Amino acid sequence: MEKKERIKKDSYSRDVLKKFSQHKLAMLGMTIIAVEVLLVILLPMVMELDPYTSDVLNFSAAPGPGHILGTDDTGRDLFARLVYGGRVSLMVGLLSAIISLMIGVPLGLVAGYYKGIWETVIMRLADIFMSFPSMILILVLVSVFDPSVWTIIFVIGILGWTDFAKLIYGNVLSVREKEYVESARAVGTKDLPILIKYVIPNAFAPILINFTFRTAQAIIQESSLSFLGMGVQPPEASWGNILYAAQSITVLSTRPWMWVPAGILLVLTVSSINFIGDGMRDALDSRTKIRKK
Amino acid sequence: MEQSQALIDVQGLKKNYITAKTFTGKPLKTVHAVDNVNLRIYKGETLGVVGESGCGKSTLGRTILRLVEPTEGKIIYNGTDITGFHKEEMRQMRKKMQLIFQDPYASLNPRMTVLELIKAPLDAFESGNNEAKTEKVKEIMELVGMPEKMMNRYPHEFSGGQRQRIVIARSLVLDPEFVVCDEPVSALDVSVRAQVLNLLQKLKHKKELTYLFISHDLSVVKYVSDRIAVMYLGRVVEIADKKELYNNPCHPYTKALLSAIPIPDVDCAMKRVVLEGDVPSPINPPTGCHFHTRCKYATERCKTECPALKNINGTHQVACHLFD
Repeated sequence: MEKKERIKKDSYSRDVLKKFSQHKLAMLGMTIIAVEVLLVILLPMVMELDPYTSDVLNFSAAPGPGHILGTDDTGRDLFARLVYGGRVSLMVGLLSAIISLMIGVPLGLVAGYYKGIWETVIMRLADIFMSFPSMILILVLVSVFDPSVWTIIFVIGILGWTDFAKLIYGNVLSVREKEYVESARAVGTKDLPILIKYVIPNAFAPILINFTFRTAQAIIQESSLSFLGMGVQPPEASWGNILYAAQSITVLSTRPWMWVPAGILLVLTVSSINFIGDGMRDALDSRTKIRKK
Repeated sequence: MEQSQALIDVQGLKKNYITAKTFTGKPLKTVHAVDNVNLRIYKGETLGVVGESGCGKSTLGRTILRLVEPTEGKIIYNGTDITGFHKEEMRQMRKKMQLIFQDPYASLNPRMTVLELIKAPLDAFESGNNEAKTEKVKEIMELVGMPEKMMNRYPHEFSGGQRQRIVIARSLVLDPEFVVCDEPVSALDVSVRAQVLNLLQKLKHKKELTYLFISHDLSVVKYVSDRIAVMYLGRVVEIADKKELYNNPCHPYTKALLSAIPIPDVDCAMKRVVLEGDVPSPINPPTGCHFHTRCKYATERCKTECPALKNINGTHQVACHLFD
């Protein structure tokens, strides 16, 4: 009996999970990301990888027995750099998306729920942020604060708040007019519990979806920055600064091992994350039905 | 009925909505949703409010509870003027005045269980520890006829009638004195209407409640009310005891309204008063008596002068120049 009640209670989340697990591309994306995360965490523990020391005998060496993916122009092992770079790239993506979410969601909530002056100030601020070409702004900020992994995380994260704020603002505007919110007010519930129990749960689904897309975007932004030489600085590795080598035409045309793997990984990661986002969107949308087997 | 103390005294209540502004922010179009309403609701009675859609019934109910801020006028609750109450003072008042919503499909948060929903008012006022609260929820659930074991379910698992029982339980769990029922049965199937109405009646006696019962359904209002107020375009045009109103309707609009009640008898010849035209827009209501555009007794005076509510027969009040 007790157990049955439990199951009933979770029926909404169960439906969502079921729909998500039936989304093939999303499951593929999940698998790829899970494997990547595992490899990036575990490989440096079990293998002896050294992404920093130059092998003076092998500059720009093609893949071979000593270096399975070859070495870069200063003789560093590219496989090791890919693994360590993956750590940085994934971390930058995830953490900066979390920062964006943590800034954007509360601001959007306040703007949408209280309206009035809050709405004007916060949403116009978002407009101002959005009217800047963000890449140039990031470039400037990174060069002011010196490029390190953490500056990049913070700069990308802080500049990404507008998406979240706009999204949740729009949702809150519609949710706050719902009768169940009015009913909460009518029974004397205070503003904060109303926000937490009534508004957020009913306005949050798109935020979750946007979070995945934002993560993918942040990974791309970090890579673009590193590609331009303003991102993660060597000797520290990131997929973006591995690609930096591809700025030279010789490397591009004659040494594909130096940039192809990083490029493939980037594309794979970003599209996997986007697939997960798509899957979440379909799963959280109550109009899509669970397919019967 | 015995004229006991007025629990709610509404004086000159107005609610305007500005729907369009000029460039400088001056109101261009104003909807007079509630237009100078004076009402008294006595302790222990059910005051029915009828009128067609858009006449301001619901706005009136919500303005009395100050869920919608009044533009003008006073609301006096049990001798205290609550119009100027601050947010927190007003929140404390919510213990005593509650609202039962029209649409049980929209007024329950889909992400909360029945227990959480009914407990919400108790949580808002921190009345007792969690067990005491749960105990209270169980009590009220039994009272509204919901089995206790449904406590952990979500609203979407229930039918309209059951949902409305949840809504009622939530409104009554704080033991309020005054409840605005905003068309509590109009979203329900005819078959469950009677059940919910009887439940409301039963609870009223048990908990000594005072109701403001808003409805557009004359038969429903007739069934539950002691007194009835008829509204037209934001104004109250007639108030009387139920019997008096149904037997002796005075205002031409009330007459037309009552003649529209269908009689379940094919042989009965209906003498219907058919009104011409549509309800005028509340944005630009007619001058004078709002009803003069559709009233067959309208005179020149009706077009310019707004009739006030006057006593004509004991407690029977009507706002019409015919009864001067």
